[in-house]
Amino acid sequence: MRSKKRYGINIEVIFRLIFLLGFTTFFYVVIKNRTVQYYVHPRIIPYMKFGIFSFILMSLFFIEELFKTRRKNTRLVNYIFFFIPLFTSFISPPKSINPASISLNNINKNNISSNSFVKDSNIGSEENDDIISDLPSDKSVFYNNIANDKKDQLVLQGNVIVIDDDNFIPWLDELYMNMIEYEGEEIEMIGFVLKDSEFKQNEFVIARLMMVCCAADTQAVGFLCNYDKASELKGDSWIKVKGFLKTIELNKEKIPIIEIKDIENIDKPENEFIYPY
Amino acid sequence: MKTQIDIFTGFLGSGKTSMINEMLEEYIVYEEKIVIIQCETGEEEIKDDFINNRNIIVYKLPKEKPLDNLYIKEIAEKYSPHRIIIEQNGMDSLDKLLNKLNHKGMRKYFVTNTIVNVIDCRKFHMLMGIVGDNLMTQIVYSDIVILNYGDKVTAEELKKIKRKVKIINKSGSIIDFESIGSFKEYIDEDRKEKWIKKSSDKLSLLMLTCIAIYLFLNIFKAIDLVNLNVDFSKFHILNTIFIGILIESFPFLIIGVLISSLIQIFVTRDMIVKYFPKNKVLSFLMAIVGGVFFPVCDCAIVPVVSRLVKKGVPLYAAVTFMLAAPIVNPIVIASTYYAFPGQPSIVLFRLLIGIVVAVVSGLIFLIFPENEGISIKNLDSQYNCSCIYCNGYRIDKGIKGKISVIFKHAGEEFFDVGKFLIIGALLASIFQVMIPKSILENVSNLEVTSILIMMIIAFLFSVCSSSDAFIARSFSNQFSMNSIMGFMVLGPMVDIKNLLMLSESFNKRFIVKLLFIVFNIAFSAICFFTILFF
Repeated sequence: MRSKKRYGINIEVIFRLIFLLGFTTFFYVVIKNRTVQYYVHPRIIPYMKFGIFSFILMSLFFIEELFKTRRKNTRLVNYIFFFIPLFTSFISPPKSINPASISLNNINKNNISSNSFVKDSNIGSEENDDIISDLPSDKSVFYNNIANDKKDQLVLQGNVIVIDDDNFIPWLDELYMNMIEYEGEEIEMIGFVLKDSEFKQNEFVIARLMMVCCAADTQAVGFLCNYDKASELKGDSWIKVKGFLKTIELNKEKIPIIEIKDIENIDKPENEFIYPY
Repeated sequence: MKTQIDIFTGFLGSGKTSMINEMLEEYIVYEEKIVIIQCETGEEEIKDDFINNRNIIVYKLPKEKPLDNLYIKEIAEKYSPHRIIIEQNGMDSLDKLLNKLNHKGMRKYFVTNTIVNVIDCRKFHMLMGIVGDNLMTQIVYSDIVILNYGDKVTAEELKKIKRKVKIINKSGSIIDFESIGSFKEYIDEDRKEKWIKKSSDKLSLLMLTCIAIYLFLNIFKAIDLVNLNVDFSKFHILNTIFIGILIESFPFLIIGVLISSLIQIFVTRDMIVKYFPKNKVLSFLMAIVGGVFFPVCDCAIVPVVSRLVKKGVPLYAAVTFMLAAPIVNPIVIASTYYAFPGQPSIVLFRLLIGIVVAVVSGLIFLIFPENEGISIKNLDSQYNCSCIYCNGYRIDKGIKGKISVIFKHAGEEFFDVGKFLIIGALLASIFQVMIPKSILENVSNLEVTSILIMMIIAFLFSVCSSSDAFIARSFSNQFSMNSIMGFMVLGPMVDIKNLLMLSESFNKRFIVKLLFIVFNIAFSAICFFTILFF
């Protein structure tokens, strides 16, 4: 065997160190810049910290392998896969997703009510009667029982329903479920403008993005609005609306609609997402 | 210049000495000074021609004397050779020798060059059974594995051996000695070429890809972005979903590989045999209850299950555990309850159907058992793992050594399995972005089709089991409850991400079988429940 060039250091370990430290840096940077909210629910952050901790420990232990030229022979090409996420995450910084283009559960007239938290009618078809009949017949009573903690948040502020990040989901459920009770009430909320080609000229949806776990399960939820100058609103722009609640029938189903009284443009809130839990 | 050290390993009678002779024949022309240290002597001797050559010195290590650094240094000082060839005793640990050579004082003067393992094909399987541990280590470290006496076994046998060697050592050259004319040719030309292919080529390929993407992006930016807005935002969403899935699953994967390493190091096969319930009913029960105490995402479960199977847990129990754990896990139950508040029956049905599917799938694997030796890669040496750190572990016991091995092993596995996680996450996010939701609206009124569609979607989207209930809920208006149940039952059990991760340890046949069984049973169970309850 002729002298063959052999590096004094273990290339595989170098690769590993690069990727371990790369992921560590990435995790650290997204947590530090708070861009992490575009990717995952804040509840995941402690897990990410655990991840950082483990990555660093692993790297420390791998360092001592660095100069051991003994190696398990593996294909280095495998490491290309680890390169992909690191690369894409750095070249494509986490800007807010253009909400209207989220194709997963894109809101439209047909499914807007399906995005409500609890169904107001029997789920799907009559086949589910058995399930439903297990439940107390008066659904609002029943709902009060199981979600008392949420109900506490549903307080009207001087006859106005003011929806903010914390009570968005409970209110959404409440309004979709007991819309009759709230008909005519004044409502105030912020959200972004969501438009769809199926909407009428005077309609748009005021929506928020709901994230359960990570970006993969982000969905837009919100209310249909009726506004004369809806066509003047720019999609994805953030607005604050005031209006009255009404109900309309859509695809044989009643859904709440906000009759807009007042609209103002606002800046994008610090956290665009709302979290069901 | 540092002295090169070549190591020949192999068991007695495998033909190490003949190989060295063969090699010397080719390289004598270079007039290098070569010292040969023979740690064992079999029938074959170094040829007299070489012994008489002044450039070649042969040392025979006395039996009781261990090969240590001092000895090698002495020789090096005495002759200052270009090359030392160590013919190692097959029963000695190659690992120990390499550790010695890696010692700081040694690295200054020596560089370990090529490690050659000579295998006697006739005895391969026998040796694997008796001293598999040692044989695996030898193969793992080798740059060249020479299959000797390949003509003495059947062609099929030879193929089998080749495949096994390939699994253990993924990148070394495997040479069938009988089929090549000259050793030199192979090593000189092919090997050099292969080496380039191996790393520098790949590195440069990597570099080129980076540059290409960088260029592409710059051009992309330079072009009027407004026109390309749609594509770009899709890529953006794809990337956000992709990274989101990864950020979420990496910590869980780490938990999984850490648990797997703990099992690897602290749980022996004997313990499993001893303590794992012999009673089949009990073992099923244990598999299901085990899931309750394993409240992690479904991606953490794959490394743990693979490790358990390698440690000797019966396949049917492992399958049941793997399928049940993501559904009976408390976090998942809680999130299902959150997603469908006021409908505990949904939580109940999900649990019930999930457990039924898990148990029935397990039963099928119990009734029609798979050959574990075939289903699971790297099972050859029954108690050993092919990663080098675990072998090293035998040398440095003690708390510090153990912790170090746990993390190294976990790191090794993280990279082995993580690769599949990344591919899976990428595929899942591509499906999420590319599959238009309008397809769903069209099929939602067809009962059976919609169940199937929802199951396929669950499979393709690979949403984490702790959050899929919320996705399911968003479909609840368009789809009937039973198809949503299909989504929630199948999703955590098998999805693209998990199956890819499984392929690190299991063969394709097993994975396809698992997929079919689970899919069929989940489908039947849901139809059954529909008729019964809905």
